[in-house]
Amino acid sequence: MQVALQQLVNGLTVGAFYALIALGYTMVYGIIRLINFAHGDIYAVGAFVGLSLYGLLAALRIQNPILTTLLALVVSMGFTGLLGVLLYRVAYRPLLHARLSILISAIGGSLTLEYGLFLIYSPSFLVYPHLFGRAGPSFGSVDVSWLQVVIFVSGLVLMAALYLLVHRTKIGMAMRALAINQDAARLMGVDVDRVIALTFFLGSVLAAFAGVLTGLYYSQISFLMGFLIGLKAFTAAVLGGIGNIPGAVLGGFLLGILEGLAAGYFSSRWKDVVAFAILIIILVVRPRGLLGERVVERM
Amino acid sequence: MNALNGPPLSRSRAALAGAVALAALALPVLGTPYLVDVGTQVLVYVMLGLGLNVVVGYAGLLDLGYAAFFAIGAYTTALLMVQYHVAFWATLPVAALFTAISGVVIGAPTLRMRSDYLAIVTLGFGEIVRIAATNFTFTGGPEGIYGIPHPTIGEFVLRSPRAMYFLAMAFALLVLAGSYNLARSRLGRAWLAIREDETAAQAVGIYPVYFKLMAYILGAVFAGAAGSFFAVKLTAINPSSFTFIQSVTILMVIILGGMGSLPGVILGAAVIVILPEALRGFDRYRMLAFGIGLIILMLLRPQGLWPSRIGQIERRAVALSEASAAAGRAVDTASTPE
Amino acid sequence: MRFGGLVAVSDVSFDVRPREILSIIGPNGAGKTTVFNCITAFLRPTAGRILFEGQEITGLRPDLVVKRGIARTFQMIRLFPDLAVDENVMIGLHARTRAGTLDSLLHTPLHRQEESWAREETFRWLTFVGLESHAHYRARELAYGNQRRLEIARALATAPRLLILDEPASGMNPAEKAALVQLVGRIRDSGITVLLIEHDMSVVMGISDRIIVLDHGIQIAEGAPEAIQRDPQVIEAYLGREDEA
Repeated sequence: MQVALQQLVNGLTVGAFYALIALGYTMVYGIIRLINFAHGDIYAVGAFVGLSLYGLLAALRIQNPILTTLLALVVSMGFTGLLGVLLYRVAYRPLLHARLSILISAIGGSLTLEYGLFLIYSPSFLVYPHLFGRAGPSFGSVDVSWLQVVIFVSGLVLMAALYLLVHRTKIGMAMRALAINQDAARLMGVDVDRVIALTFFLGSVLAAFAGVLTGLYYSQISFLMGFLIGLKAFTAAVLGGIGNIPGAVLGGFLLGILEGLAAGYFSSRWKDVVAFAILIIILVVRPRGLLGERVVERM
Repeated sequence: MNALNGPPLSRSRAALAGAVALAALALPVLGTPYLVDVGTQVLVYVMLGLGLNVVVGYAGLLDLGYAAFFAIGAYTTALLMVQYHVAFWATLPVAALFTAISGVVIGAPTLRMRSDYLAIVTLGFGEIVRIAATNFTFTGGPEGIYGIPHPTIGEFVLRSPRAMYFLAMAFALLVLAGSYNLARSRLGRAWLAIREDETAAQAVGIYPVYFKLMAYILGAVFAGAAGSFFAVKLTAINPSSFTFIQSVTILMVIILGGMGSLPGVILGAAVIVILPEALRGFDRYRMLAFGIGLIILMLLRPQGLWPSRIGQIERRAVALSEASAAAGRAVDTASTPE
Repeated sequence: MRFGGLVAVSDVSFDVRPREILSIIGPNGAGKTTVFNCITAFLRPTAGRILFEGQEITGLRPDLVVKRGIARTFQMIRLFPDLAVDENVMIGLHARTRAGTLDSLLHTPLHRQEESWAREETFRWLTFVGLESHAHYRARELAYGNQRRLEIARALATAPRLLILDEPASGMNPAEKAALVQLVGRIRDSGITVLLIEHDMSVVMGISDRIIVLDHGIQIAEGAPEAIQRDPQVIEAYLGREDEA
């Protein structure tokens, strides 16, 4: 039982990461029906840019962990957000009507980001500053660290903020309109290109946030970190219902918990297979996921 | 019916093909062992490219986990030869059987999926196979299997680079002939129809499930053959040869050369192998170049370097983007369900 | 046929007699294409049965319906646009040939035999619809009226006993329509039964042996053209509004 609870706590933390990244996949897919293969690597860029910031701030003798973390987050999120928009403009926008080409271009984008990081930073692991230890409130024999709490709570806050943006603002309405019917939205005066760019921006910002926190949590980052987590976050998005924002959140946490339990009770070597298996099963049995809408094929 | 077989080769292309064939035959005779080895690598990628070409180029199924079939062929041959001392030639039908079965297992769930989901799911399967190979003890774990014996023909042991080259050439020619025949056959036409318009294909009596599965099976068997050869060529195999990067590399071969085009696949394989060899000093940039190259290819020349003449995929994609950019699509009033 | 909350077709029941030309007409949204989609198995009816030549075909796969002898064209032409005209028709011969995977891989004698037979058959059907001189054009390059004819040729290549045409005359000019009427007549004379949906009354009245009228998913009339023209219910439903597609 204790194992389960501990794994639950860990799973919720990892789940927050999955959820934050899954939101990017789900928003982009909802709007332009593209699986943004490079999104996981955007998350990795976020982590690396954060690390650079920490290094820069350390060189400038700025030591306060809260301050440096906030600065690292803000800069990383901003930079990575813009990088996401750049990716859209260069690799996706010209190919929006060519199904196969855009998928391949996305793979190209993913490789470019991964191996760009490889060349700029390092082929092996880089270490994040140990700013926040494992200390934290413990409930009985279940360890919870403050960092985990922060990740969980701030993740939820960001997700809520996104939800509010999408459902309570005019630009959010434009996003939703685009997801339903691009041509109609265009006819209503929506600047389609700008809204798509914003979608990429927001998704990348969230991913960058997750990236920096991942660095703080696991202490190690590598240029390929985006690949696996990207697949898993995509699985989470599909699990919750692709195109559905609460679905991505639900899927992320659910996947995190399932994975944690599997690692606790089975073996951690097969942990990754859990995510893939879930993906395959969902897409075969219930492609619309938990919260998604049934898609009707018209003749 | 000429269009189905492709218009006759233009003079320059025929000349080029002739030159390539000559070079391919001259290599084992005139080349250094290193060059012959490079040639063998090209032939392996030719086989793999041709196999993936059946799945992606002919049937239109974007498989991102193709290395899984390569792995299954390689491990089957390796295990049978090392553990059970089976002769190389006898492992081939077994490898073909296992890869065919895996083609069905991996293909079946994807049959009703949209192309993007299909891509991710096949990627997932590819990863599952690689993780399984890394974790199971009977596959040798991360170190893999080593000490794979050489194939023999009677008393003659195939060990030298030259012998390996000829073996690879034999395999590649078989796969090439098969691919050529398939394109110009009832099966090839069924794939064309499914790729162009699956609904219309059903309306003329084609059952897409069967033909998609067949594409997976044939593609898998071709990769399996390449895998079996790979196992005895390297005499040691491990999971690192069967990663997603490998699947992407094979995809790059056919994208670069031209999907659905046989000369394109050969050209693509040659470029993919020779360019990094020639630019040995720039090895660190190889994958970055792949990534940027894929994007640029899709933006500028999606049909590849030596495009197919038969039902080109990207011709339609390019035409579609032109059509939607141009104004004046008549609005169809009778588009409500009747 | 019920789509979620919408009942598209609720009370339709008719037979098609061999070698007749039966037209289904009705205002937009009446459910005509839905009926066709049910017959050809692109939709599975939520209630009711479909029988062909005495055998139940409800709920079969679309390709199996074709193998039983029913072929169709679509409301929005569905050719294989980037393939050649002759390739389009040749694909229509699929269900009548047997070459399997091994034959295709090895180009066995069976394959060779069927390929030359297929070439002849393709030419035959292209000539039947009058497109033999266009054989090597790409399908998307044909004039609209010719694309329609190509789609019909492809359907005919499956050797159907029942041909279903969904608004074949839509988008055609008067000359093309006249040619279409002739073609349909020749199809019927060759022994094939024709079932068609059409909006253009001149085509329908000129060619049909019988007409069925649908409105809002319900069959409201059935009979010979003259009777239908005089039927008050039909007139009320829409004949009064001069509908031209």
